Amino acid sequence: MRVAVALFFCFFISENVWADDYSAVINDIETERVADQYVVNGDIAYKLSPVVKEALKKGISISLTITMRLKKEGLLWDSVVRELKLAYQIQNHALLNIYSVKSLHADEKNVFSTLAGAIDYISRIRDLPIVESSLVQEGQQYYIAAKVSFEHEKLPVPIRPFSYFDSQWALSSDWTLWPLPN
Amino acid sequence: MAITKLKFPVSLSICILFGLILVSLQLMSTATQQSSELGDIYSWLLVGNSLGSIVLFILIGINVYSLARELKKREAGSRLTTRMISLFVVLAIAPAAIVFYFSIQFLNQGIDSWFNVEIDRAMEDALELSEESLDQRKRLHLKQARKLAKGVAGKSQTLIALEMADLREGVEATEIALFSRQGHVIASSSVNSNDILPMLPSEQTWLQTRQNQEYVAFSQMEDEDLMIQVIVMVHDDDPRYLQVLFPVPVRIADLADSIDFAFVRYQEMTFLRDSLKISFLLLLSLVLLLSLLAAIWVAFVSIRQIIAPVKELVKGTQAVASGNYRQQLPVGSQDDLGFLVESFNDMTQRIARSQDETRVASIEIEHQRAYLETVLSNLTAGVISFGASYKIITANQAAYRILHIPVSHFVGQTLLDVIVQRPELTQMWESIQSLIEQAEDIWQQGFTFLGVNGRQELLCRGTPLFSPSGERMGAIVVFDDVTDLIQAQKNAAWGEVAKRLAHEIKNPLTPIQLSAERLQHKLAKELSESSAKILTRSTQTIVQQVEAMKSMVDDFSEYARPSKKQVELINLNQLINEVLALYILQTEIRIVTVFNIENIVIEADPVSIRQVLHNLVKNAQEAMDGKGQIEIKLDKVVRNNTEYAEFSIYDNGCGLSEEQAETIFEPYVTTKVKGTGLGLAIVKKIIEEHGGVIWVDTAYNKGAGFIIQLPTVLI
Repeated sequence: MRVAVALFFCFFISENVWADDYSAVINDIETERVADQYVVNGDIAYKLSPVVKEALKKGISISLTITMRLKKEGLLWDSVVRELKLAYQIQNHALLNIYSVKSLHADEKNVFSTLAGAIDYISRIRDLPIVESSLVQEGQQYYIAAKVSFEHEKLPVPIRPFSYFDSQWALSSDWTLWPLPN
Repeated sequence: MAITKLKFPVSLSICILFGLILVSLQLMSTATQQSSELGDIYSWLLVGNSLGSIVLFILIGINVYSLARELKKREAGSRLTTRMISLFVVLAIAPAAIVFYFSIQFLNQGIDSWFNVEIDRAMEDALELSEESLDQRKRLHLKQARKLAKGVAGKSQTLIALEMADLREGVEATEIALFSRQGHVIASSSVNSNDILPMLPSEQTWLQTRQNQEYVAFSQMEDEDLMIQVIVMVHDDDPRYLQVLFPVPVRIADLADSIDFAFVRYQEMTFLRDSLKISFLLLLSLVLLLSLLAAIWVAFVSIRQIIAPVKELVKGTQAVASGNYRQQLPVGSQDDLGFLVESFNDMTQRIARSQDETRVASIEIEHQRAYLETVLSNLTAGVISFGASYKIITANQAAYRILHIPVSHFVGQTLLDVIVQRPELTQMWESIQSLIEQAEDIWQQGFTFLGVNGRQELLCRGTPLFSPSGERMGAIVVFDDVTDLIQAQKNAAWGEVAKRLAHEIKNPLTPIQLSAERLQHKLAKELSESSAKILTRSTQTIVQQVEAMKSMVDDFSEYARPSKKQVELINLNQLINEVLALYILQTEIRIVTVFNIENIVIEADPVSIRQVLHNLVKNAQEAMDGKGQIEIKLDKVVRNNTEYAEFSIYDNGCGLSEEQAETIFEPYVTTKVKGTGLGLAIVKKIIEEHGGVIWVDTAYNKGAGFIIQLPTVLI
């Protein structure tokens, strides 16, 4: 009985139970020092599943959050120096035949005539300031951990529980680590 | 210090449990609604309820396992609990399953009824109509933008900058802007004078524009009205792009928003149709499962509580059955079961009280029985009681002492079964058996038989026993050994006869003898020789006979005289040897002595005991005609807790017949030609006067054998 409960929790809580069929992939994260701060540039490849595309087409909005953490290596464990979250909500407007992308973190809204345009918009991370250079200690190792999370809880209630167990909705990526150049 | 454990009321726990379940399910139900703020915690509610179900399932599993173990051990109340819970589960599941089935049916039908072809088509038509309306506006504004582009073609940037406001007002646009080929702003004009910069097209827009040389699309910035964004190419040597933003009328924009919202909502519902069904099915299943599991668990708790007094009662009953009549049960409640428990406690109290009384009575009876048994066992008379089927129930110690048969060993058998032990008593047993079976009143009868110690006289008295209702329920026989009594009576009679004989006969004998001698003396001289001879012979005969009669009268005197004159301690071994020493050299009779015990001391008159020994040895000698063997044994025996010296004498003479053995000790009974027949009578009298017994050893068949037992003295 205990094993069954444990398995239940594992399946329910884990977002990456399924194979990486439709998981987002963080291809590249580059950090450079610009003036007195470090900025991040990166590209993320999204592979929307047919079900997700269909849902978008039917007017269901999907929410994705890109989390970036600047972490300092420690003796026992690493500490988070700074954390940024880029939250996006994509929605189709059938009448206007446009896709809108709401940048929840920046309170912005952009519209695109195609889904590819909308996806392309959230795929690119350009000149995102992550930390002031004064906070970075010399001689200390830092790295950036990045992850794309699909917000299951933002889905409509009827499909929310099942989305945890459906690979078509497994859009989240794994954590990827990128070094911060000295 | 006693530790008191606070117990939470079960009924309150149950109420709280059901309250929590209801609240949780209500929250879930609310969360499923589209507009609910609880939608964010829907998953957690689902997890919470699932965990609740699992916890309840585990609790039920533990209860079922516990119940199965109780059933296996056949514990009290386990079967009743199983039956009640099974009944409850069946009664709960059956209607719940029916409601569940029809609810699902109604839900599915309800959801399906939301969607049909007409609504679908109407929604699509409405959308198409709206699209067409907006497209017309888009085409109109595109034409206007093209015309403006033609107008500005070939003009210098300065001129265009001056005309921008007029151009914008001419087409009633919100904003107009001219971009270089690289996308830099050359000139712009906006309704809102605060806008310094025009709206910049996105990269995607530029891409499409460069591909198609024009771009038209709806655009809506954050919190701004819907607009139509048109970008057209201005054909010059160095191509430029003119962007015009046309406002969509508020009414049309609102209608478009409304139709868009409705269509999207409808599309979303269509997409979620199956998920919605499954979601409702899940919710309903969870509601049913939680309710059922909670109800079953509560049933377990409640039924166990209900059964607890019954269980206690069963245990109490078992305790009472095993003899613990002081069992008291705790009275838990004041309901019917509480009343039952109180009645049980009352019953056990009464039983315990009765048992105490019975125990006291049985102890009393036991004391009475023991007392009666003691009295019976100490009675000199033998007592045998018989049951309704005339089988022996009890027999006292005296019965064994008198009959020399362990009658008490024959309890449960009839007297006829006792015959096996002593066949010679068959006639007596048969008579007694007949009397106890047939006599209607007290009866009395004497029996004579040859006992172990010689002839025995029994005086039997019997009485039938009747129950208070008059039914015959057995009999009781009391018997006394009156041998000694009768013997004493005979002895007394013979003593009196002897005394009278001695007195009445001995007195005339002396004058007779003297007269005969005087006749001889006076007449012998006067008579002729022949006559004198006759006289002499006659007087001699008279004198001899008188002497003989004197001797006989002396014997009688001896028999009548008390023998225990001077009592002293005698070493019996020594006394026997002294007496036998007189006989050893006299005849050809061989005397053998076997003394198993040395120095046996008795308290007796030595003269009388010597006479006993002389009489017995003489009798033996006479029985063997002066030739044979006399064996004398001396031993010690214990009878009735008293030590006796057992002296036995055996010869190998002619022996005694059975009839002679019965009367050999009576006066004037003799087997010899000469003799008064008082020898053995005197022996018996002396022995009895010394507290001993003498009898013929009937088991010895090579001659005559006598056994004497005399009480010894402990030194």
